[in-house]
Amino acid sequence: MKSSDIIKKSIVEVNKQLKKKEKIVYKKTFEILGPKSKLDSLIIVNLFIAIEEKIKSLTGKEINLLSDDFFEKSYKQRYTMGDLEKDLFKKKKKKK
Amino acid sequence: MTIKELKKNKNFYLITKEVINKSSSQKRKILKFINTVNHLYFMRAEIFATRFLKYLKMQKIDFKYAINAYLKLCRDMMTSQKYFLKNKKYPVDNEKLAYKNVYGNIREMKSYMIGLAISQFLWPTHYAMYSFFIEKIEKENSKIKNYLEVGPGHGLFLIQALEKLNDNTQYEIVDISKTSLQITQSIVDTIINKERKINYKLKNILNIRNSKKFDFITMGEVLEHVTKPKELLIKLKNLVNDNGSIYISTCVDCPSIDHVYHFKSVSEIENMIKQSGFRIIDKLVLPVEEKSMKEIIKNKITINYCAHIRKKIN
Repeated sequence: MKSSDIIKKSIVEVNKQLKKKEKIVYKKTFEILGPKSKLDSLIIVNLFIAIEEKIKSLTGKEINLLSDDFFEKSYKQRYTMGDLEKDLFKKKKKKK
Repeated sequence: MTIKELKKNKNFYLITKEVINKSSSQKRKILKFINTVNHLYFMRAEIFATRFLKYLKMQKIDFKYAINAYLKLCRDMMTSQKYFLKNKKYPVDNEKLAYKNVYGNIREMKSYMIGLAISQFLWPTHYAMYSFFIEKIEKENSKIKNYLEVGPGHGLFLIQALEKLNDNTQYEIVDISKTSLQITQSIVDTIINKERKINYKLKNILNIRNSKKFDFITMGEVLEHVTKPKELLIKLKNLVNDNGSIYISTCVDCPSIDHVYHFKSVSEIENMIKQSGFRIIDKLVLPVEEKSMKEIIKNKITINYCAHIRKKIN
């Protein structure tokens, strides 16, 4: 399954628990962390858990999205949906 | 209060500005909090920041190191939260491992204490507990001749006690971490100019065998660090005077790099306090997110808790 599809499916899952104004949007420029982000840490954590669990059930491999890379990028500027997709792609590839 | 007010307090602004510049998520949270505070908050925060910067200078600690220590704390909290939600348990489940990872690790402990000191003024729940403590110590002031603090950490609560209580008050400070005790002592020595009777003890409070009783005991954020918190509470009952009182704080669903006991609800904490022979005089229940209590419990969001308690006298 493509990284973007895994993310989209995870978003649907996490959004079920969220109020309308908190919902995550699948858009490359959507800020997960950054000045325009409205997501709190719990939502981000739940999104990452949902993605990691999908990867595990699809491939049996464990990945960690909340890694030093994530914190480095998010501290410097912002971390977008596009960054997440790239990170996921890299981590999936690395684990093969 | 606005950002304008923040800028007027130059030392606190220096710290806040650096955190905000480094982390956009912190920026959002801090500015939201700043909009809810009053003049007293800024006064306390500026005093803290002035002293904190002086401490950093005297200890030759780089300002950037301190800011990174705070950001590391935020990062560790998020990582622990993820572990907790994924595995339904805290990352660490025994005191020995927590000691090895944190209290006994000089580098980690130093960073942790510095980060926590900053959080006292940047996290709404931490500031609320700090204010609660000040209110209680001021109220009990005239009764306190002997003060005990268990696990003083960054020393901010102890400093308040040293400033608010009478000059003749005797202080006993107990901690299992040498690094923590050294940090507390160096902070106190930097800030408090007056001569004070302070006895620092590197010991586990459970192993203290003396008949001395205390008029006020402070034990902030310690219960969740031990596997048997009730034993600690019972020990405190034996150490506090019949007319004395205790400030305690802990938390519910609060994974961290060194939390080993998982309180699952506020009522679990309160039942333990009561079963240990205390009555609760006053308390604060402080969820870390602005959501309904139903959502907080359902999503296992951290709740900070502090209370002012007294011995139940039969």
